[in-house]
Amino acid sequence: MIGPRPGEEDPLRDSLADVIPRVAAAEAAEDQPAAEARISILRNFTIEQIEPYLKDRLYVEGIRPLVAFGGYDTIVQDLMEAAAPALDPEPDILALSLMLEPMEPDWRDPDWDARGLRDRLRELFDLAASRTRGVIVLNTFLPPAHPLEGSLAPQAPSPCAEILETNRLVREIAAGRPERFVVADWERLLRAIGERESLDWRYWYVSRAPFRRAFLEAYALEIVKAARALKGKSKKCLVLDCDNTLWGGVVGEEGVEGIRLDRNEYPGKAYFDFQRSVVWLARRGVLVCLCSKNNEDDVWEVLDGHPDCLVKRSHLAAWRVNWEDKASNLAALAQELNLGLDSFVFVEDDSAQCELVRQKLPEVRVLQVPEKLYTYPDLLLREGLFDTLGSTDEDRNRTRLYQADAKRKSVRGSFGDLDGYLRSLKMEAHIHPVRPGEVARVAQLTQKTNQFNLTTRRYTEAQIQEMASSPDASVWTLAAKDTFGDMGLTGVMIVRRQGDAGVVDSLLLSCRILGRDLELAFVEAVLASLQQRWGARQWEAAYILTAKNAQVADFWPKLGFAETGRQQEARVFAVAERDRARYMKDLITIHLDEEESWTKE
Amino acid sequence: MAAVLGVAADEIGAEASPATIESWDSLKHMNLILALEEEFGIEFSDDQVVELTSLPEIRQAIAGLV
Repeated sequence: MIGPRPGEEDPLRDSLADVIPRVAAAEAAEDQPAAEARISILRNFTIEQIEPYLKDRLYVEGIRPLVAFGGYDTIVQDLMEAAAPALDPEPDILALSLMLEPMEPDWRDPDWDARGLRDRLRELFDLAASRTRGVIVLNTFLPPAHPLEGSLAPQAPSPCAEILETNRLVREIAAGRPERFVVADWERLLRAIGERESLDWRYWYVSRAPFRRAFLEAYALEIVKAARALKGKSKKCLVLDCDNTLWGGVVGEEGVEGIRLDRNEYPGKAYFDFQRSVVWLARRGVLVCLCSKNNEDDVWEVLDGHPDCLVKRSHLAAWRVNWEDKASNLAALAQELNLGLDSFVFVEDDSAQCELVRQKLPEVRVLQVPEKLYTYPDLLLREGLFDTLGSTDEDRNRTRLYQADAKRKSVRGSFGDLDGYLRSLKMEAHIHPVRPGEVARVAQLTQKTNQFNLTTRRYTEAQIQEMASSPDASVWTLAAKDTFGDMGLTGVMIVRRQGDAGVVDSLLLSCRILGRDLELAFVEAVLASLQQRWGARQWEAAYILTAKNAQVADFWPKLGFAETGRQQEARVFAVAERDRARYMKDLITIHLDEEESWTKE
Repeated sequence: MAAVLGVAADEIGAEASPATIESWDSLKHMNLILALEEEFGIEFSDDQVVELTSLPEIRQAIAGLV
């Protein structure tokens, strides 16, 4: 077991600087848990910070986590397997992590197209269900703390009301297909944690990373619950002590009238409310047992006769009410019920007994009655230990058969195919030689871009300007927008002239516009234009491997370039103008302006 | 810092920066900033979370906040 269990009463909260190396050590360890959960997170914002909390928690649960993230805002492309080669093709759990704003930039305006959004969500969820067999974790959206329309006299139409309506739909879709969907209810998590502890506006604006630690941990727990249920690690049996656990006080000494158990008055009401959660769990199929040191008759007197005792004899699957030690009694209960001790939760007030069970039976999850009794009613609910998915294994298997059929018929939702989807984005690209006002941005992109960057050459503004005004070089920019918004200047290509050859010095794109063929259209437009201007007969290009740009190692071969050798760390490619692969698709409306801003002498 | 960046403590020189530590990428940088904020009970400004990319700068910024 790694470290203290998260979520326990007043947990020793570890700092991030403890969690990260603990996860690294667990991942490096030779003996890994037998159960493993393959988790893919497809998202339209920056969520990578969830990784240490998610993995830490899964290791605590005895599950080996294998976590992969989809590209930034490329959910549909990832689902269609066009992008993100690192993605697991058959995840156990697929988390669709969706923020509203990237999908609907105008969601705060009174007439935003909420209906359109809901239609798109339906399509996206259907697509996800048709492309994977795993459990899909959806999320609800976060209503703003301060609506633009004001809060005193809410007006119709209200953007906030539309968000709540959209959340209702998400829950309804999940409820309608419990074998496929579960909901990580962000709206509920935000309510439980509060906005101050949940959201980091600073990182939202700087890096599109909206969540603080408390929210990330809570969201991770929702994913863990799904993994736990899927891997058969949900708890099945709840074993309760009696005195100071089911009620306050010692019934053997104070009598039935003397114990604290009351539907109105605290502290008896805390025990009453706790019992309510026990009854609910029994109703949900959890086996409830007693394990206490009492005279059995005293216990039955309370269960059968106390007016405010909700837990009745009929709720119990088995009991051990005697003077033996509790570890032996728990082992006996496991045998009687034919269940593994790892499916047991034991609730007890006495520290020494808790410790004894933890030592002798480490598989049993021990929960101690909290000193702050007012936190007791939620004790069994906070971590969702008993949560199960809304279907049996049989349902799941049956669903799989249906899915195999559906897959053969090549379901791709209502998008048709990937090209159909890309066309529906109504992409537009502005491509032209760098203009004076763009030099700073171009230099910044060369300095910051790591993943889609063929040579990772970093340039200053002065260097960009020099190349832009040189007769033997040309610096090009790409600005893209689509139906969801303007992505701005996000691509740069630099080409030098050497005799009758054009040499691609740099090619880079911001990772948030990948997976949409924009890079292909960009290269095509630039090379075609320069061919006319320079009469180039041959093209040369390079790829320089770094820690982060492996995804573009095959970029030039895909365009028909052949590898010709190495220059220091660079792999060099070349292709004759007549042989290069041209990108001819019409998925993107290109606005090409070939004019240079500098007189090139 | 070493724990968050996933390197040995003695690899972090006095002038450490993304140029000297290969694993110091943008995601690790975010974790580093968050871990430092937890550790020292401080909150960096929007500019600082982007620009604090070397040990000397980080030292100076923390000294200014605690």
